[in-house]
Amino acid sequence: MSVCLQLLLRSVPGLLGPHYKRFFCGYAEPAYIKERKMQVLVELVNDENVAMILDELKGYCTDVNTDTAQAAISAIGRIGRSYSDRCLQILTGLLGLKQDHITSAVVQTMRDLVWVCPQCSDTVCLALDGCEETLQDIQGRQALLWLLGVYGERISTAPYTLEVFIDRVRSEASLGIKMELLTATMRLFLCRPAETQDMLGRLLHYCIEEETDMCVRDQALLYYRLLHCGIEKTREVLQGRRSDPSLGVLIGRPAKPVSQWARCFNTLEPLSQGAVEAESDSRGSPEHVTYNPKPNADLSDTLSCSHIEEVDSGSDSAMRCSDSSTNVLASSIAAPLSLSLSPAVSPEDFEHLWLQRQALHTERGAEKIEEVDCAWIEECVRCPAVLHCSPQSLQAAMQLVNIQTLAFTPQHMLPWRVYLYTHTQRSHSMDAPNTTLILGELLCTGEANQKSGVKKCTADSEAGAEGKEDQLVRKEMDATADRLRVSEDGQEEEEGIKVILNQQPKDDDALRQFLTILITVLNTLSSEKD
Amino acid sequence: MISQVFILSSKGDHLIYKDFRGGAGNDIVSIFYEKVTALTGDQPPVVMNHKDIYFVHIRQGGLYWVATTTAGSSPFTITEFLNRLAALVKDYCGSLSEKSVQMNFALIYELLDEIVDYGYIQTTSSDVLKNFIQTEAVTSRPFSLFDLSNVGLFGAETQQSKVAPSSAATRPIQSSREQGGKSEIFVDVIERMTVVIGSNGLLMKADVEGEIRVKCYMPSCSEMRIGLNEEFSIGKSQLRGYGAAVRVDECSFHQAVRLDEFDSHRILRLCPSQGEQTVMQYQLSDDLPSALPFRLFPTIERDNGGRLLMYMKLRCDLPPKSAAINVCATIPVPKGSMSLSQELSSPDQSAELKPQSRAVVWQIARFAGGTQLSALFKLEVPSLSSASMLEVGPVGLSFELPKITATGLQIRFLRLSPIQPGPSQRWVRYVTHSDSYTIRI
Repeated sequence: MSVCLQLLLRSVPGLLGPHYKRFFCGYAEPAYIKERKMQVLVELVNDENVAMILDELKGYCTDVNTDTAQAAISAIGRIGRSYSDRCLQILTGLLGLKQDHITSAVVQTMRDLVWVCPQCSDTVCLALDGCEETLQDIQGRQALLWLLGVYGERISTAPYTLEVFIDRVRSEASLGIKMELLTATMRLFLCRPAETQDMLGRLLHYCIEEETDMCVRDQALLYYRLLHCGIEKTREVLQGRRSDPSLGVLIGRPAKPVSQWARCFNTLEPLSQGAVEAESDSRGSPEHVTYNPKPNADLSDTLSCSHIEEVDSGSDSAMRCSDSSTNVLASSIAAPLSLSLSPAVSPEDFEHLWLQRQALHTERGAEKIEEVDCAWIEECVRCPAVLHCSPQSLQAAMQLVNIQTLAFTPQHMLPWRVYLYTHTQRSHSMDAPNTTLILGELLCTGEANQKSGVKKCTADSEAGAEGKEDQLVRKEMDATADRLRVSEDGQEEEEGIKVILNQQPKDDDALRQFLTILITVLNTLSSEKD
Repeated sequence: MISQVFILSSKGDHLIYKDFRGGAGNDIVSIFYEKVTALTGDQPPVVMNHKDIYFVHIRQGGLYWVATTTAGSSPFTITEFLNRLAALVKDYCGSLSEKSVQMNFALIYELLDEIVDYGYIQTTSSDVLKNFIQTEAVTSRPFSLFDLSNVGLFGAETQQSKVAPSSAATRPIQSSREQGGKSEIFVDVIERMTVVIGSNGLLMKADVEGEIRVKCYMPSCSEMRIGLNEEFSIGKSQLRGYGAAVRVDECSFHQAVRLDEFDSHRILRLCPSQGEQTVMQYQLSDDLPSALPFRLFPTIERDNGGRLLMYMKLRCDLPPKSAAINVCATIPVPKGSMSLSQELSSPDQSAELKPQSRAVVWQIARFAGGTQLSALFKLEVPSLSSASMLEVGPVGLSFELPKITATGLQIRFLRLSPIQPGPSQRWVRYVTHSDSYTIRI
């Protein structure tokens, strides 16, 4: 039922405001109910009740059940994004209890808070003194190492703490801690070279010569060679972003329309979609959230009209914009769908399949295409600035979410086209096919007198998918000059980008989700360029 | 809709299993039991899923009542169905326990046949089912001195005729053919209090949820009129201090209740069906007419020997003639507390340290109104620091207040019409118990 409540709150945020007291937890309630109630309480926070709610949550932080205590502490952290002073006071007080699960949760929460609100870093740095003795578990220590690395210049005892870790690295079992240790030591070296040089040398020596795990060894080798390239290059690579204030402001998120979830309100579907956008607190350091293993590097061989070699060097800016885009995506993708690039589709195959399906679509006309078991969608997205993105950045951004762009016209040339494909995989499918292949085209004709209709894709993608059978035949190779669409506000200088997707076999849900992902990436790219 | 229904004992024994759709495998029950036992020490969530199948379950009478379904159905409907099924089985078998289910499995299968058809719920009303259920219930009544004659010494009437034991309400309802048996009606007014008192002694939250339940053993349906307090009012009054003495924020009624006389005389009219039903549910928040039953004055300090001293003074603010029973205070203590020594003021209290739940549990059998009890606890905590005093967490109280309602709701009268031919007896009982009474330190 609490899942239903969370859906409701996302659409009508002010609804339950005065009744927040109902969500205080009783002491004998089962743990899963307490966690849900805490999630709801976080969403109901406003200026009047923040003091009471924080008091309540503080009482739960010392609960006997460690999971409940950790959930309470991360709830305080999420409120801290808007009310940082009070929350930091509470968190610092909790550190005084010197209990390992509490300290671990507090350090992780502080790391998340600092990522979003860099102004808290001073208080956090002061509070970290002396934490390392109480920390036992892996995630807590990883969080501490990340904080030491990024804010090392302000924490006076940072090199000594790192030294303790480095001395123990031989007996360290966890892969994540070793990676984090390497990165933190490198960062600290950049701001405090004299104290750190010796231990950095020892650490690199150990990792390259004696370490058996290949990930750690490769990372250490990378850093070693980077250092050889010179200190400036190292600084460029390592001192990336320290914070992303655009993430996670509690108040001011746009409300989702009710129609999106009304269909599955009184059923068991919300449970099957996994936690409804619950923020995961046990992820690694914030920069590694976007880590997607990339399959099929040999794809570069088969591509003829894209410049893969230059992607890496030019990808610095692309990394930044895709960082935030995939952060947004990571929180909005419903669990079942995942995209992948394998098996690879070569350009010739793509062309062949595309023309074939195009012909089929033409033949059938406006009839339903159920026999062929494929789906068509056409949408229009208003983000003209994407045209000004370089192909490399577009490609890199798409690749980060496992969409492969096969071909595109050079920048600033009209009509502007991009062809792309991906495979969708569903882990949890009852009657839907497991994998589908989606081929897509992005098209912009750039004609000023063409009226482009704007459809809100997230709310109406359902209508769009279902209306596909009614859409008339279009051949995208033909000129699009005579295409007129209904417009709500006929702006002439802004054009929209037309997105045409074909999916085989048919899976409406996956197609919709893919469309949402694609549009999010396009929107992010165009907002970065503005 | 529903694919299977089964009842398991708390140890996982199959008591009842019925498959309506015929689709699932044989191991469904063991999958469910594994999931439940996998969560050690914690309650499993009401709805769990395993691949495509969803398990919805409730626990009543120490048994697991489980229904399996697919994703499209409403979880609330199924939970409500399971609750009603458990209530029906309780009505028909008298009490709800593993033994009574085992003795009456034929009756329960018959009930399930009538209630659900191919997975679709038909009816759960005992009036309708009365015409279809043929099997008789088998009960084992515990021997009770009350069964002996009602006549006291020298023929005088004893107290026994005026007070019925609580087991009187747990006999099974009669099937349609038998005409014998006493006709009785039991009306219970049950309230649950949820209170949070802050560390400064101020009331932070107080909620009372109550219901009026009627259990009817009358063979024929006759109309019953229940009269509540005359000054009973619903909703908040605008003027403070001029509100009615007995007030609730909102209330809801069973669908069979007729409210035509409610506005004028506060009378509810209904024809109760056999068995138990909830006639009225009501809620009151934040403005209780009576004083809170308990207040705590704790003093926590550290003594020179590094021990934690907790001096607890618990005061009961009930009217002097009444008492609270089974009062149990749970005081969380810092981690690593090793031993407890206590000084309690009377021998019928007891206290012990429970290391797994990291709390001191203080039990008081009977707490008279208007009195106060104090206790001194000394705890050995090896690494006591000033910060660990923060861990002496909120105190949870659980108690039961017989014959008292927190809202002041009373049943003025209970009339049956037409007047029954034989003697019919009407019993009324009030009880308030704690749902979650938390006092912060």
